[in-house]
Parts: sequence; structure tokens; C-alpha cells
Amino acid sequence: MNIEKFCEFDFIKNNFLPLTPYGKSYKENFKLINSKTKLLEKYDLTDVVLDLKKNKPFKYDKVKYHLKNIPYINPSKEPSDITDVFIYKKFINNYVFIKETLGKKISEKFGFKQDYKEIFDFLNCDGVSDTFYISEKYNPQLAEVRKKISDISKKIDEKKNEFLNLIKEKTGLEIKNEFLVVDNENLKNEFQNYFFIDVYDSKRVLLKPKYSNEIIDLIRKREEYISEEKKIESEVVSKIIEKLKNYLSFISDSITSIEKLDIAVASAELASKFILTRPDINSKNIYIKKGVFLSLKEELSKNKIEYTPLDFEFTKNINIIKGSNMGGKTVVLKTVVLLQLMAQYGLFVCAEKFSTRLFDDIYVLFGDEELKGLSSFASEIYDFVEFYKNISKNVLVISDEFAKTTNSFEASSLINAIISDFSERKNIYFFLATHLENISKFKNTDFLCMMGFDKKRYEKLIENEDKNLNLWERIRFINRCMIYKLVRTNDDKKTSDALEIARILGIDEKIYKKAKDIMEANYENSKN
Amino acid sequence: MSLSKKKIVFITGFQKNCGKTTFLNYLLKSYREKDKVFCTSIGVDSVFDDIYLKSKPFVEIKKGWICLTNSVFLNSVYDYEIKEVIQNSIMGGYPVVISPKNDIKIRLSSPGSNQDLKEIIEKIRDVEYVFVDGSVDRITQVSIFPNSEFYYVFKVDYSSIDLVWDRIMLLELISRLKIKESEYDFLSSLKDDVFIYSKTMYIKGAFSESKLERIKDIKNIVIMDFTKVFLNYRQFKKLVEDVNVYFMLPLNLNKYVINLYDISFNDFEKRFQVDVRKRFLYNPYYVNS
Repeated sequence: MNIEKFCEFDFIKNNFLPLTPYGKSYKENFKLINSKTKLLEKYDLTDVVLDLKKNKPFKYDKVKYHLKNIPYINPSKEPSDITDVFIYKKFINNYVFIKETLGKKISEKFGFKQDYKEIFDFLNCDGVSDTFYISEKYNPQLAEVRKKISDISKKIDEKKNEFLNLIKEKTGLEIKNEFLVVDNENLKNEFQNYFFIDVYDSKRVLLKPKYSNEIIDLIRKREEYISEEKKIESEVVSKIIEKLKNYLSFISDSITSIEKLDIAVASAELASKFILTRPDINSKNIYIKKGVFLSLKEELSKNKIEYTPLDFEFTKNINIIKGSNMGGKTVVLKTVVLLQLMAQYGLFVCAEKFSTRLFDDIYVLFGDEELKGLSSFASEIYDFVEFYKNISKNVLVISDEFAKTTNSFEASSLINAIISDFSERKNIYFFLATHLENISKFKNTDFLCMMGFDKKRYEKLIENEDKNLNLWERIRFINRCMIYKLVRTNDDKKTSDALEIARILGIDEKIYKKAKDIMEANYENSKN
Repeated sequence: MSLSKKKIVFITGFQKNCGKTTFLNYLLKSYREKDKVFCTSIGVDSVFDDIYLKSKPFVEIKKGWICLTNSVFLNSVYDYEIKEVIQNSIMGGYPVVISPKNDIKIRLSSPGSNQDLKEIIEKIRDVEYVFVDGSVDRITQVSIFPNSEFYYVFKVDYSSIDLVWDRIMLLELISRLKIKESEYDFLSSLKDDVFIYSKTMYIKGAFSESKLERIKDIKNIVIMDFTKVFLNYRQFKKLVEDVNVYFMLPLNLNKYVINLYDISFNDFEKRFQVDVRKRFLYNPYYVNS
């Protein structure tokens, strides 16, 4: 199963909001990092940004503003036209502003070393701005030809207005726009002196002013000036592009720095929003203090249900977790995976303290959802077979109720065999949540259990409870009777709260009582 | 300047070559150089080909105004400032926001999706009037700018007159229905296109003929987006007679711009009641003298 899907990483992703195109692309391709050095660098950079956010909020906001304005540049493609010049200018300007705002000490931590002073001044020759204009300072001839165009345009407008006034005087028709539509019956012979006449429909004609040769000559002359102007503009753009090409390797390095900063800012924002902490990745065991499965916490919070964080130190490589239905086994697994994944993605984590070690891979044995047509069991086994082929890596393996769809006798035999195999390996850290009984205690194995259903509390509360509760009210009731605490049991503890949970969730009382009778009879038989 | 302070005017119509850009040019004539105008287009640019390119009309932009064009159209202009480049490749180029230093004629371009349109209108500062040369299909984009108004341009000849009548009557009916903005958040949060609670049907997606069969015991229908009503006038009128229909957002109709071809005013007008005719603006280039 997709590891991100299992731990609902989309919740984190949706709150991880890079500002640049590079950060956004990084977000879509998170990769598990197993290098301590790289991870420590990422954590350090997040700390740097958190410090900036806390102590220099104005500078921090300015950096974010400029990050938002960073455009996308493909460094492998050379600039080729005026829009590229605009994009490069915008990139360089915002890079320079970010570098200045951060100051030498902080900017160097992100690798802001490139000096763009010369090209920055060249691109901003008319004053600093994120827009781009082909200034006359690039070529003085531009000023001359632009003036000629402006002068001749004025002359054309004057002449046109004179002609339009004449039309009004001679025909009574006022032309405010380029043309007029008149009824055929209103067409007069003298119109031919002033208009080109065209068919509009069967009842009307279109009149366009017939300008004099003098005006047409002026328009032609203006076109020549415009061609000349465009030629000079084109030469200027080529000149700028040639200059920009000298900075391509700078740009490539700058993109790396921008991405680093952007990711650190997004990580810091995430950390601030959910009060995340820096993970410790130098531990042998996995230790979690007040670990939170964020998406669930938020969902419960919306429904005013209290969330119990996870506190535990996993000291063995094999961890078998048992407990009631709805007792929180899966949430423990998801919390472990989420914390580990966040830590190895270079993010701070949702726990007051999280110490762990690094894995080359994290694997969830859940059955391959792509294998349509296979039974759930076959799909699970296929998934396991594929995993087992590449077992040499240092890997965190998670399984939630493996083999739950086959008979319990064979399922527990299979699981015992797998645990036995894993317990002989030092490179596997295995978490299994299961209801199955008769799981043996192998080397390096811990039996853990969710404390689960508090029957005394339940019996006390159920007396006064309204029987017509909706689903969320029932879940809230279960929550009040459930102790979501993981404890070490040292043996394969039996749990039997399923019937009570089914009762709270609204199963028919007759069925509940019958099931209870059958269960008690079976229990008595097993004793005999 | 925030989006709410900008006056946004859409020029739209469901027929190709019905005169939208011609009407836009007519409207723009009444704005001066010093007015802070931004012109853009939305819609069909994504289905680009050479024929389309050549037939796309020019818009007259005054010195200092801002317009959204495409980098492939920049060869027709000179002496301009680039204010923004939207990095969505459209028509083999990029949408570019420019401000010319002279009066120019240029082809407008779409920034991409309706969301891109919203973002660019929000982003462009120091603008008071936004004109959007609209899509040829529906008036979808109007719904993303709740305070916008629009002109609906029709080309009317004998082959299209019945369709035009149907569209005008449908728009008139929609524009007169009650608005229930209070349920906007609730309706937005729905996962399904249709949600029925008690005797009320909430419709988030398209309202087409198939949904009419599901309204047997329904007393109220709340429709999120008036632009997604795919019923003809008679179907919708019957619906409004049978149940209470509400919309989330108002439809701020300004005028119907009517470009008549081979049809006389009388022949066209006699099909409509006086209150509808008040909204008609006949071909503004027509001189009846």
C-alpha cells in the first residue's frame, strides 16, 4: 500500500505550502531521505527560518513576498525572447532582494552566493521594478524613432479629425468609431465621396471613412518608423539575451538556494501552525512523547472529541500490538508511520518528542490495491512476496491485521512464521496490529496492547444514556469509555470488547444478547 | 486595489463572431487615456489554430492602459512595458500583461482558466475598470466574480432568432429569481452534485433535463451556479412554476446587445414584452437617419 496514503499524508501536504514553482514541484515529489547529514541540514534550515519568523517578522514577511514573486525558469533552456528577459529579470530581482533581506550570515546558509550586481543594474537601468521595458538607455536611437512615431501619429490624428469633421459637415453623419451602419434607403450619392460602402445585410450598408492620400501616406510613413523601432527593439533584446546567457550557471545554483529557502519556509509555517518539533534521528529505539496523528486530531476536534496522544518507547524490533476494536491500534501504526515519514522527509514532527533511527524504506503490508480480481488474501500475500524479495534493506515494516481474511488458525501460523523470520534479522523493524491469538513470543519481540475498553466506566455511563444517539454521539460515547494508551504486556493478551462496541454502535439488542450467550457457552466449553 | 473595488464588465455571447470584440471596442471609446483600464479575454483561446488566430479581432488599447495578450501576438506592437508573464503555455506562447506607451491595436488573450483570470485580475494593481472579452460558450466566468456585470451580445438572423429568444427569456427568468447567499458555504462544502434534505434539493453541479425526473416531492431547489442550468426556457419556466427555485449568486445583467441581420427591429421586438426590451441595446454603430 502507498505509505503516504496509509498515514494520510495528504493532510500534511495540504498544509505544506511552498511559494515558488520549485517548492511546489518538490512538494509533489517528496522522497524518503536516509542521509543524516541531509536531514540535519533541513532541520537546521527550518530552525533558521523559525528564528527569523519569531525575531524579525518584518524581514520574514518581506522574504515571503519575494519568494511568491519568483518565476519558473528552466535552466537547461536558454532565454530566447522578450518574455524570457522579463522572467529572468523578475527572478534575478527577487533573488537579490531575498539575499539582501536575509543578510549575509543567513543567506549563505541557503547558498545565496551568486553576485548579480552587474546584470541587475543593467536590467533595472530605468529604476528598479519587476516589470520590463526596452528602455531608450539601451540604444539612444530608440528615443529618436519613438519621437518620430509620436509626432507623425499626432499629425495623422489631426488630419483624420479634420476629415471626420468635413464628413459631418457634408453628410450630417458623425463617426465616433471606425465605421457606421445605415439603412439602404438612407444611402445618398455623395456618400461615395467620403466612404467606402459595403453590404452589411439585405437592408443596411456599412460605411468606412475614405481617407485622403495624404493621410494614407502619413500612415505608411508611420509604419516605416514602427518597423525601424521594432528592429532596434529586437537588437536590444538580443543583446540582453546574450548577457543573460553568461549567468545561466548562476541561475541554476540560485534555483537550488531558492528551493531550499522555500522548503524551509513552508516547513517552518507547518511547524508553527501545528506546533511541530524537531525530530531526533540518532536514537536506536523509537521513542514518542505526545505523538499525534494530526488528521484524526483535527477531525475529532471538529466534533468536540478529546484526542489522546501517544506516549511510548519501542525497545524491540518486533512489536505486536493487540487491543479492542476501535481501541486505537491502527492509529498507533499510523502515528508511527507519519512521524517517521515526516522526519525522513525533512519535516518537523507532530510530537512533543520523537527520537528515532533512519530507515532505507518504509513498507506497509496491506495488499496491493492495483491487483483487481485477486482476493484480499491473495493480494496481501503477493504484496508480502514482493516485499520479501528485497528484504536486504534497513526497513520499517507495518502491517495492520495481516491475513485477517483467512481462518484464524492458519493466519496465526503464518504470522508466527513471519515473526520468527523477522526476529532473526537485524534490519527489520516490524509493527503488527492484530486480533489473532496464539502469537508466540520470539526473540526481540514485544507484546503491546491498547488498554482499551473500560467496562466499569461503560456500565456506569450506559445506565443514563439516551438510546437514540447518532453515529458521532455513539463514537463520542465509546471515546469516553476507551483508554487509548499503549502498554507493554509481556504476553499474548486476549481482548474481548467487540460485542460491547457493537452494542454501543447500535446493533440490535436481541442479536447482542444472543451473541453474548454463545460466546459465554463457547468459553465454558473450552474450559472443559 | 482589491477585486471588490474594481468594476468588472464581461462581454459575452454564445455565438461565434456575434460582435463581442466590436462591442468591446465601442465601449472602450468612452474611456479616456487617464482611466485605469485593464482588458483581457477568456475562453476559447485554448482551441487555437491558424484560422482562429487570423480571425481574432483587434482591440484598441489606449496609451497607459493594461491588457492581457499572448506572446505570439507581441509582434504587432512596439514600445510597451511587460508587467507580467503567466507561465501557462497557451497557443504556443505565454499570456503576457502589457502596458503600451502609445495607442495600439492588439489581439487579447485568455490567461488560462477562470481561476487564472481571477488571480490575474486580483494581481494587477492600480486598475479601476476591467473588461473581459468573453467566452463563446456560457457565462460561467461571471459566477466567479459575484459583483461583475455583463453585456450579452447576440447576432440575430432568421436562423438564430428562436434560439436567441429562448436564451434571453431564460436569462430574464434567472435574473429575477431569489438569491440565497446564506447557504453558499453549505452548498460549496457538498461532495455530491445533488443533495436532498427534507423537501429541498441542493444542486451543486449541472442542472440538466435528467434531474427534472428527480423532483417529484421537492418543494425548494437551491442551485449553486446559474451558469450551469442546461434547460431551455420552457423547461425552466415550468420548474419555477412548480417549485421555489433559488440561486446562490445574483446575475447582474446589464444589456443585451442585439446585432440584427436581415431582420427589422419590429420583427424582433414584437417577440418580447416591454420590460425585456428595455435591456436591448441595438447595434451601436447603426445610424437611423
